[in-house]
Amino acid sequence: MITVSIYRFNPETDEHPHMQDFEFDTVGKDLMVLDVLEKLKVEDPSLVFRRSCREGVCGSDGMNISGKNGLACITPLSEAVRNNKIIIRPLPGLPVIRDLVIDMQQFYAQYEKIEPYMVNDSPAPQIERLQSQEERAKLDGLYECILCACCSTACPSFWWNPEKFIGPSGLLQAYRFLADSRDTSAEERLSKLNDPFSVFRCHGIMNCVQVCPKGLNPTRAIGHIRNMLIRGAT
Amino acid sequence: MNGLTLFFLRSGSNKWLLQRFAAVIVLSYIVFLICVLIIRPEMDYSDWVNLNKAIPMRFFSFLTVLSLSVHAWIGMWCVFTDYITVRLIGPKADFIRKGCILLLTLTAAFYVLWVFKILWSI
Repeated sequence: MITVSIYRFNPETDEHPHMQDFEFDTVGKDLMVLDVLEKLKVEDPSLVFRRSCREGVCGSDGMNISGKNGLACITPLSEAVRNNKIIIRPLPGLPVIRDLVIDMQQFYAQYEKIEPYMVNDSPAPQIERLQSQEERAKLDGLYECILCACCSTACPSFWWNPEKFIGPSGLLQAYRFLADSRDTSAEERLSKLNDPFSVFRCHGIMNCVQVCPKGLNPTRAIGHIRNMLIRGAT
Repeated sequence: MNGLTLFFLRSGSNKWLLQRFAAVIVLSYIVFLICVLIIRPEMDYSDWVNLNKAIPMRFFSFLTVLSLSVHAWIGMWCVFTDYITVRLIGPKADFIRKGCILLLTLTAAFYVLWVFKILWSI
């Protein structure tokens, strides 16, 4: 038997958010946190959370699980339960819509800023734009981001300046296009990032690396962008 | 962008480079002083005055204080723009932050001028 303490807030009925405790029998199984939430939702249908693929691909069920951001669908109870208790809260730093559902508008606004699409104005070849294996390898560790927002909402710089600092997720994606040999707009992309906030507000805290459920390293990508900007400035 | 930020510092990379460059100058000054004290352990007050009277030393000391001020200014500017925001402390934040940056700028400028006066009055 474990205690599942869940952040509850319904703006239509609650003045303030509160934590609600549920007792849950795991029947000796190491379930995923999402499985527990699904079963609790049967018990209390008013509990609200996002979920979709339930296998760590869609990035819908990012939440703060016992103090660490992660995806509920791939976080086993054995990793999250401490002293027979698990505490589940919405991702921090963004407005809560209801229970574990946050408003990700600000997160997507930063993603939009980095223009997450390939820019190449040269005439398209008959079949496809080719890359060497080495050029393609540069995208490994970048393209796998599923935009779950676990990293950006774990980043104090993003909490403090979410309108100005792109955040680790957006910057990882920015570098994904800067590193792509087929993209020809590196100079324009860099000029849009060369203010004191967009990139340089990263203080290297590395919470993003610690929480990324896909094992990616946004801090390294930010370091690469910073180096490109410095090389351009000198 | 805050109006008090110098035009040059509107570029994040310039600011980042300047802060690191200033840190290198401060570090080299500290290393230099340690080396002097190791090489001349018997140094007395008059030797110390003579060392600081030398024109290159005056420039080096002044450059170090200037670098320290620039380094501190950029660092504190980051702290103010991280913590003193409308999001964190409400609508008065912009006014308070600008006041803090102004105070910081005046303090840094005061120290630089004061050190200049001290160095050139040895």
